[in-house]
Amino acid sequence: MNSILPVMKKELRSSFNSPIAYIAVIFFLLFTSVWFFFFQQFFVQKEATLRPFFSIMPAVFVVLIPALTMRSWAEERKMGTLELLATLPFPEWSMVLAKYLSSLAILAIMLALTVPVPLMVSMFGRFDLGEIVGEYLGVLLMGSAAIAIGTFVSSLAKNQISAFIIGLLVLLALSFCGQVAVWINLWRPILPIVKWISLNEHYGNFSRGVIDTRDLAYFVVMTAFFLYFTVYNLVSRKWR
Amino acid sequence: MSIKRKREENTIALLVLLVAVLAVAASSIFYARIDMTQDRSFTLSKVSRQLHEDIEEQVRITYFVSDRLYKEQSNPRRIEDMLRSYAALSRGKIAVDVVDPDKDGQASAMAQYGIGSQQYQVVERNETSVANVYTGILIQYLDRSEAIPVAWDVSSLEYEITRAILKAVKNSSTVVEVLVGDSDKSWANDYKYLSGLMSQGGWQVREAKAGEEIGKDVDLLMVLGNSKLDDFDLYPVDQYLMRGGKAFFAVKGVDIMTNYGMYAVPVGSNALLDMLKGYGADIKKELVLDSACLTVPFQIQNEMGQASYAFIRYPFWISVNQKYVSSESPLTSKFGGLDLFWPSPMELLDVPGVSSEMIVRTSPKAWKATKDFQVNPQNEAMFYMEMQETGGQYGLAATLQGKLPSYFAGKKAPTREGQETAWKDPIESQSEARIVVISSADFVTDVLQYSKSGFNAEFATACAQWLGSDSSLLSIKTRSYRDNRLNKIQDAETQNALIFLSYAICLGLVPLAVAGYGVFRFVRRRRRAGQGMNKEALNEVSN
Repeated sequence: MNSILPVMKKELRSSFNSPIAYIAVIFFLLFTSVWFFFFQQFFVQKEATLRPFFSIMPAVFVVLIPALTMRSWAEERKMGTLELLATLPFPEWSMVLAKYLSSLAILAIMLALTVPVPLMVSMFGRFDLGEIVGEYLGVLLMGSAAIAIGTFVSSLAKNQISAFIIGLLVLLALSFCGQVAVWINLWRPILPIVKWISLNEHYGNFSRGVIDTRDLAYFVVMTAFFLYFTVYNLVSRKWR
Repeated sequence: MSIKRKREENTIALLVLLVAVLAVAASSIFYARIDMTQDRSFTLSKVSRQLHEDIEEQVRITYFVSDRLYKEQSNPRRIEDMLRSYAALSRGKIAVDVVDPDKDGQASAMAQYGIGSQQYQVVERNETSVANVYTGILIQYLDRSEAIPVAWDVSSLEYEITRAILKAVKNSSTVVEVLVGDSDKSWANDYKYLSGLMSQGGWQVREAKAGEEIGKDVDLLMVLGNSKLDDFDLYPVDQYLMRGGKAFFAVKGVDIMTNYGMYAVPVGSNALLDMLKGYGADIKKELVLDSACLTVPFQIQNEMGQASYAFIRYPFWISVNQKYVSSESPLTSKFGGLDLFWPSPMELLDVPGVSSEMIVRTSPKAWKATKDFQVNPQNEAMFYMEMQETGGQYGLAATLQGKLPSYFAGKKAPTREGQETAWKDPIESQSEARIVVISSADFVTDVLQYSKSGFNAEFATACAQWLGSDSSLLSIKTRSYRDNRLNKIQDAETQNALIFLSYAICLGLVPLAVAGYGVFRFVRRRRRAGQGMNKEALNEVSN
């Protein structure tokens, strides 16, 4: 913990000193609200549910998460500070965890800033609070797994641009592979496996207000898996 | 870095991979679901969890689902989850199988149970086609079987499954007779939605003829409308209640002739209203209006004779708010919504031996129309004529239980010219009867589809459930149809103002606050950096 907090604070400070973070947050807030109120026509549909609001989150994360994570390791490599970090008396896992947690904190702040949406619309109808809590939890877990994936991609990429593009493509594939597999009528025996891999498939229960431990396990395993292999990637660089 | 260390790291990586795979495998075998929804839409209710107490032999449930549907949609998995929950909680009394009828060649066998295929749109590469798929449930107990031909909507499936299991185990079904009491309506033409819902719910429904004996096998009588029923028609109804029968009455105090320019007239001398008054429910020959009402499109004609649609707040169509229903009655404890069309005010009278409860009321901002009924939407200004002198809260629906006093007590059995049937002398109450009275005859007609008030039919069937059969099923029934319309704010001006405020906060204030915070941090950093440079410069000079 002693080694994680200082790095995490440094990362957060660095993020909020840059205009990119603010642009990302404002874009996120405006896009999701415009989507909800105007494209989904919330006040015309007249149904007391926030599912239309949360339905766009997987697609937004495909762009947003790589933007959040692209700097985490690719920037260090480009600036030549990666080797310097390797000499610090902090284990690699603590640095990986610190950067991951700082990105997660930024995501949590973004989601917290969307709370006025359910607060305002709750004046108009009877919303299911359990469903809303499930939706926020699902989005946070999905974001957590996506951040771990983005962090891993960033640890492989040579610069921020390639980290962003590759991260975007990887998340796009992992988020929507289930749906695409259905559309292209994928070979039956592997269809369930492909659907299981899909981030979107596991988000579904949360959006209904149900916490299924299978989905919880999926997000935890995905997060831990990609964070571990980020550490592995950094450690293996020492062997070269 | 030693090769040994590298090997260690690689081994750990493989172990991590293995642990991940095992964790995933374990989570799919040992799992739990926490249902956080308010209605617990995805959790089995108590009556379903305790089904095993009624089962002596084993109940076999087979879920027939096409492989394609199972793999491409998420509902079949949820249906299977629900069925496995039944099995898990049944202490071995319920066994569940999931079968692909196409693979197992059972398609033709299923047809005898009424389970047929459904058409399912398939998009393959660039082509759209239609496939025939199955998603039906068969419940078998001893030599009896019940089928749910199309199992899809999970939110209301628990009721269907539990009802079907109870029906198979107890070998009984609820017989309902429906008596349509308005001369301008028929069960076949004007109650299609309700009829469909009751058929789906497994009720045995048959239409009663006015003036004929109520069958001895009837569990529940529904009387819909009252304008054409006279003493002769009502005699068998009264005597059915004297024998301890259960009945649902949807009646009106004012007749609205929608085919004659919305002409409205009190029903006049009406035998059914007098009969219900004798039981303790006094429906006035007036109309009640409420500021909590529906906004509906009405076709209007201008002076040139051109037709157009106008959206009008129509206080004669009352949207009942949950705040004004009984929280204790099982009928309304989990209220899903109710819209009443042209209701009349109701009062409860003290009748010895009868306990009554008003379960539905208007809001406190209701008023009445007692004369010169102007219900045509084009006369909107006339709706508020009696608002000042009649403002208040009025009753709309009630339950009555006990030994009801016969309407024909002390009288001779009514006769009708030309009628062969001769009624026997009336009997007094022998058993406790139970009735529900709602002061709107039209709320379950197909008009409900016009205003998207499907929960009206749900409410009627919930009443029927409470009256006619296992009241324990009610706890499942009432949660399947929550009123999730945006109807908390009725006033249009307030609504528009709050919509604008929502936009202002979500699209304006919050993003601006974020931008403002960014600017604040930037300015603060610049200032600190400037102060730092000044200090350095001062130090240099002093040195």
